[in-house]
Amino acid sequence: MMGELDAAWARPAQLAMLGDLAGKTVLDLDGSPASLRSAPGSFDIVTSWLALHRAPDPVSVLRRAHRALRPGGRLIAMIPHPCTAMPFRQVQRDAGGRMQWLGVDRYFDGNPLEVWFAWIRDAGFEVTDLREPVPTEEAVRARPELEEATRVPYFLMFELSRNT
Amino acid sequence: MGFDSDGVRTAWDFAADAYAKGQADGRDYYRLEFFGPAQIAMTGDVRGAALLDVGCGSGYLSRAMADGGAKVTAFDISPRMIEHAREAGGSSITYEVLDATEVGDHYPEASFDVVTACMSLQDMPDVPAVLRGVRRVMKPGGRFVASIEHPCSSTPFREWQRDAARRKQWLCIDRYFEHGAMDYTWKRWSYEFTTAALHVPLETWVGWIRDAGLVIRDLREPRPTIETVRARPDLEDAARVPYFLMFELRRR
Repeated sequence: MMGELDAAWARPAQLAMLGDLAGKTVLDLDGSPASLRSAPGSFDIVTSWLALHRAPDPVSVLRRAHRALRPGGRLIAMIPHPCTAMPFRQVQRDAGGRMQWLGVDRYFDGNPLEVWFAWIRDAGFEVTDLREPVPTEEAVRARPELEEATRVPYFLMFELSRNT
Repeated sequence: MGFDSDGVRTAWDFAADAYAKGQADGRDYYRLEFFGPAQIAMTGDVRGAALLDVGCGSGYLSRAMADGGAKVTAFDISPRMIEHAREAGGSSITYEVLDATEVGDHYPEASFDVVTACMSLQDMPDVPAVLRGVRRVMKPGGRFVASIEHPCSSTPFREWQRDAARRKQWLCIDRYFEHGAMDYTWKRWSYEFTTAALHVPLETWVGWIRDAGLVIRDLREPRPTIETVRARPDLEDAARVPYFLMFELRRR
């Protein structure tokens, strides 16, 4: 199973979504949650990498990120993809260890996409981009076990804009 | 059959008699008892609204919208579907045969308060053109409520793993990132028919929506209630994995 520890291959996709950071004020949400309280409206970009889904109250984190951003600022966040991070999931492998398919169930017992979208909207954000990163061919050549991440979506990246 | 306007028209024309009968006699219970009511609920209050129903088929949602007090215009690419829609009543509804890619040129700009598409967009070969056209005919402040097959369960490979008693254990998925039309054969209707539907990843849908100048205001994944599943046990799978995705879109 594609674990969160293996997600380094998705970093280039995040950097692409972040864009040119020259002269921008950036807050890493995962590293310094305390600073969210101290500097309202002062950041161009807030980032979060595979952490929001573990927050006890993701919508309050999203609200604080919204406050930390200046109007027009963006939150770039990656979470495990709700469509594969279901409470039941199981990889079927052939004798050579290659994934045959991914089995999933109990989607609505987790946090479905509609819940994430409701949290995002309730925090005052608009979804301006959504990406499902896949490892490059080079990455798969170097680490053949990443191949399964080219066949089912393991991660979801949002670009959320503070428009209000 | 190719996944182009001619192929889609031919496939749905052939399907139309069985499809309309399935709605009249209750065979289409996924729509009638589950996702249809979910879309009607999400569309909300339409009293007095100028409403356009895109890819209306035999008119299930068009009639519900007219019953809700909307002034309904509806179209479908299949002439035979439109015949069925007219026969099913709702004399206040204006039905037309139209290829959805022409929607933006066919109706005056900014003429509809509400646009709906009930499980029709994924049957269309050129979704970006349809979305651009819909945006053009929406009034500023208007809403577009659309439902599609959920990309996470409409993967080119999808199959329920079953136990010895044939009970569904889990859904097996693969090939999520492939783009393309997949044939689906509708079995156990008054006759079998095959239609094609598009699968693209969620990020592609979101990109198309954004590039058309639309904004996602709400996203829902309807599932049947416990009561619905008790009355119709066959719907149980739709309470376990997401089969349908609904958007409410506005003009940027």
